[in-house]
Amino acid sequence: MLAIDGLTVRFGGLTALEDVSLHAADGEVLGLIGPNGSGKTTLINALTGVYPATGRVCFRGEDLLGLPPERIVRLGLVRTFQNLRVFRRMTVLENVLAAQNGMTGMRFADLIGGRRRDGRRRERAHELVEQVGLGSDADRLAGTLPLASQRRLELARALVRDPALLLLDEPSGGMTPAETREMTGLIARLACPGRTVIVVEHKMALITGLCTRLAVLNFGRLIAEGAPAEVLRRPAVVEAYLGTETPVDA
Amino acid sequence: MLDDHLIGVLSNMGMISFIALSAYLVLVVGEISFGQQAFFAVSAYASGIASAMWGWPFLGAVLWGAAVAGLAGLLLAIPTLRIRGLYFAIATLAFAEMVRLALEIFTYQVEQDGELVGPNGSEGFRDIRYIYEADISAGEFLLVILALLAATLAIILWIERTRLGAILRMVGEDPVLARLQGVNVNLAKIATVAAAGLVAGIGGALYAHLNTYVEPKIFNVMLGVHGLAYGLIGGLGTAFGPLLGVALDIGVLESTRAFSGYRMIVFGGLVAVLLIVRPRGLLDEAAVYRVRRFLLRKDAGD
Repeated sequence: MLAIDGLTVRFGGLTALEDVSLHAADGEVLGLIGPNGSGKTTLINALTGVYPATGRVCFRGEDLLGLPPERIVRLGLVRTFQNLRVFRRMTVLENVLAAQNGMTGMRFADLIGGRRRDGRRRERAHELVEQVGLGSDADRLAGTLPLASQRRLELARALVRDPALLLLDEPSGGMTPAETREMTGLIARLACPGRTVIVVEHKMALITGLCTRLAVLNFGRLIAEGAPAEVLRRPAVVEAYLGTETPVDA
Repeated sequence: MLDDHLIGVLSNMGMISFIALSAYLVLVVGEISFGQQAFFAVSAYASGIASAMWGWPFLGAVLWGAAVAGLAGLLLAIPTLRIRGLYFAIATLAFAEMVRLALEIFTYQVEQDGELVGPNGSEGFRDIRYIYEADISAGEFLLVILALLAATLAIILWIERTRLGAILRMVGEDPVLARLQGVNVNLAKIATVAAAGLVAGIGGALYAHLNTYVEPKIFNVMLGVHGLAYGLIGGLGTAFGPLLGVALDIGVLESTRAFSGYRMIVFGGLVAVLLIVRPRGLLDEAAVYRVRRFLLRKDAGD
């Protein structure tokens, strides 16, 4: 599915990611954790073609490194953003529709055809907006939504492309505990055969509730990988990530 | 029917609207251009040459002028692809000044009936007489301007409703996010800047033929600044926005002479105030969205 081998990202003299090797199997939920600045978002940016990187990233038989972002996303690798990124001047539904615009196999007639041509697309977009619980906000301008709803919108927008690999960058960032629980429930239903989810998170409840496997980054290096309960007990992880000796109780 | 003054004002509004729409298109993809007057100029010359020197029919000359302006747009779009914001704005300004200065030395004349016809550097380009020879009145020419403007507006409004329109707005609001959704941002920008050149070109061709005379200094930066300001005043949520801007400035401020000598001060003040209270103009996305929702609700109620 996804095999990362020796991935390194450098900004001038700063090494943000060093020699990270990691794989994700089909249908699993892989948690990516680590302290602030450990390179989690950098890893996502490198995978999606936003940052230049060295090493090898193999996704469903294709080498991703060096491809521009628009090509990578068309291969079925879709992300959300830690610092929310929606088209604020478009409605919720338009945002989801917009995500379908860059798809492959679009003919010129589809580009300049009227709305009647995209009935199927609209249906699908409506479905997803409903699925993430934004049905009643479909026609609101995205910029006017509360933060938690914008995160849901990002999720709907990612799902509309039916991604093979979904990268969620802190999907519960800034959410209340109740909102976080709802989001956890949403994500839990996403992974399935044919769709892998990688989730970057800080909240242990979400991580332990969802992930089949965990990878831990610290200072740009991968320091642990394995089953969540086991990984979280390792001294190196406890020291790096939690900074205390208290074991984690989920 | 209409008096000459009114015909003149409406013709001016129509021709300037093409520059306003042109600058608006560039604004939609998120860039500011101070140089759309260059395409107006290129087409004024190219279409004038076609009709006055090569004997082309009027409509052919207009299309030719617009096509050359579109090509000039392409010429500007490709090298400026990687620069954004302030740098793009300065590049467009520099490009337009280069075009204007090139026209100052551009000489291409042929003898017709014992007289030299054609662009003559800073002397300008006289005797683009097609509409007088064809005996087209100012009122009829106004109809031609309005018909071409309506057609251009209709095409832009249509595109705004399509996926292509959505793609352009994606690029304009967040090019990185647009790329991450699979949009070829570079292609969208190049195509838009070229199309914007073409739109300004239609206006330039009309201008040359109505006035029969053009000279390089007409196409100075103030022309482009006005074209840009119309979109910023009128609004960037719909192609009606820049037209509203034109109507407010030329239709109200200039033609009624309400503020006579103070017009530019009032106009500049209006731009400044609007940029603060309504950065995306009167008809911004939120306003367009409210109007659309209102219309939809009315439809549903019927």
